Amino acid sequence: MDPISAAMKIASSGLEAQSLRVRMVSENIANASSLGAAPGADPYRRKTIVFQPDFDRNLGADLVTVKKIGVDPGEFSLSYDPSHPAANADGYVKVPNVNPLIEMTDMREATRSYDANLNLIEQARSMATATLSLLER
Amino acid sequence: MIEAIASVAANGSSTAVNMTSGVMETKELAGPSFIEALKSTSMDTLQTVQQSEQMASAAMHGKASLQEVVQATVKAEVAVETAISIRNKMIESYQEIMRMPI
Repeated sequence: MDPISAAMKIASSGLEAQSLRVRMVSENIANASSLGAAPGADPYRRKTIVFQPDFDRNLGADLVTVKKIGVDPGEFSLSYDPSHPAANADGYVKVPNVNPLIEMTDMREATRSYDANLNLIEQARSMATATLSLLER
Repeated sequence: MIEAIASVAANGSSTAVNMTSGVMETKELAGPSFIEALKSTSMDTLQTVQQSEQMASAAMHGKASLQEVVQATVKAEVAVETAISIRNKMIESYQEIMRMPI
């Protein structure tokens, strides 16, 4: 496969990886206040994403793929709300370990990375077109 | 044909001998001919366009991601552009030959 289409394929795998990351961030943000149902139950646990290179034999190059979507083992904080069904004996409810600031940073990073990959596809295409324009004198 | 030229060469003039060696050299060139190369390139283009169509239809069924579809479409676009450029160039040279005064 010629390097230009290979570059486009690789960038497209980057697009997919970053869009999965945005999906994960949106899950985290949407569930930022999903609490447990039973007394003392765990609330939503923040999800994390791990990328890894994926060697494509056909292409002879490394694509990117999602290794796993894991969970953040961080501590839950407590908030005092005795009327909530998930409140423990002391009236405290466990709150998800989602930090909006971290999620926003993650989202920005994913967006920038997505943009970079998009630009790469655009650049590869314009390189191909520019080369072809040599034929039409 | 080579034999014919070779017999001419054997008969005399030095230019004929040069021609013979020239013909021999062209004959010895390895690798695919121009027509073969053209054929395989156009088959590649056809395949790329077909893949892009399949990808688009898979996306309609919700089986392919947006990124995959766009990548396949861009690839097909570049392939078609290449094919068109080569076709134009070939037609141009054909017309150039047709314009040659006989």
